[in-house]
Amino acid sequence: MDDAQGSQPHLPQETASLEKALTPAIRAGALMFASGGEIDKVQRTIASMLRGHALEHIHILVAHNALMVTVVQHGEVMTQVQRIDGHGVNFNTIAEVYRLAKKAHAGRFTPDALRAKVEVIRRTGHIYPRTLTAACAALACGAFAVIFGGGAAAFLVTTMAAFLGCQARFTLAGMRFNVVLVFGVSSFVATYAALVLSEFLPDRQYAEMAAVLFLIPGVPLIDAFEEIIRGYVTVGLTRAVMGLTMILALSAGMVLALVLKGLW
Amino acid sequence: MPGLMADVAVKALLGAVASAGFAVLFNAPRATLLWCAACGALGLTLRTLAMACGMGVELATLCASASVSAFSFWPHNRLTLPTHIFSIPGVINMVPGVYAYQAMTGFLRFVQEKDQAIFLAAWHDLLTMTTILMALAFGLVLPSLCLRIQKKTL
Repeated sequence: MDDAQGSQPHLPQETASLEKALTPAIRAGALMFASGGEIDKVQRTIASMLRGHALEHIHILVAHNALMVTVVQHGEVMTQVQRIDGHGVNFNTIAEVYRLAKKAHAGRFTPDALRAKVEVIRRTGHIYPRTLTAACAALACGAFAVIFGGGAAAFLVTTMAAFLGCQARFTLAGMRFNVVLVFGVSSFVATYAALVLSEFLPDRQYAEMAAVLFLIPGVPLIDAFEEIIRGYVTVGLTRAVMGLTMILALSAGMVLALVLKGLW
Repeated sequence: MPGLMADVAVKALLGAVASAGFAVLFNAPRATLLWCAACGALGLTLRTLAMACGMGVELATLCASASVSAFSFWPHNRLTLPTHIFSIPGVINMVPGVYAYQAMTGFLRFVQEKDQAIFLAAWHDLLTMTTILMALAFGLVLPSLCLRIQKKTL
């Protein structure tokens, strides 16, 4: 997200106070939306943060890659647009913003304090180390293999293959490759590893199908469905199309691994 | 009956592991991990029991997903966090991976073998997968649609 907007000292006092109120709210909303928060919650978060500023109207427009908020106070109108550069899933950011908005709603912060707190949330990294995250995701995939009907060997193979795929995903994402490419390559790595490791397993198909499940875009697809149900069709469809594109990339990686292994 | 209980126990344990694993992948706060695991265990247990009672996989998924979503209001109120942080990892272990895999490989086999039966089977898998996904998502949204009617703030 763009961090270039500083305070504007030459603005009239009323406009400056509107800007002070609006900036942390829109930034918090953008953080939440980019971390996988659904649009209704994002709108309510922004509205909560702006409560207590005696605003006559708040109008919020959320597009897939930008947020726009217009507020009206004593006839003064201000609109801000916040660009959203990348979408991901980060429940910790959603949790932090949600709690902050609840406190702001209760009137516990000045606009400056709120702005500083939003900035702290924006700078907070991941809670868990990368290797631990990959190991947990791999264990989850191993559990999937058994849920689908595989045995202990399928669990082990799936866990190892998913771990490799997950590491590939984190490495490529860290190198800022396009997300579709990251999904395709990670899926290829996980499937190929599962195929190699499960060569002599009787139930190898369970390992193949479960090893890539750490890539399932569950959050965007569920958010999309909820947004469409709540009437935010445009944003919901955009999210759904992005989710389906991820699934397509995932399938392409799997197919490539199957073809290279001579199974097709 | 003992076979069913053993199956339910194994599914509950694995469901908890899968949900907690995905919660870590989604960078959920530490305090929520046990709740996510509980949601995962609950969802898979309910779905297994519903299917054992003769319910179809789609309806069983809808009931389990709605139950997980309703259950997630408990940690939502205790920890002051959005319900989705608990319910999404809780239902993700019901993702129809087998049907998705069978549909994908079925369509690929059809491209090579041009057998209509394979094509129909692949379509059947795809439709089943889509229906389960819709049931999963709708079940997840249903309690919040019923319990929270058009609030303007948090």
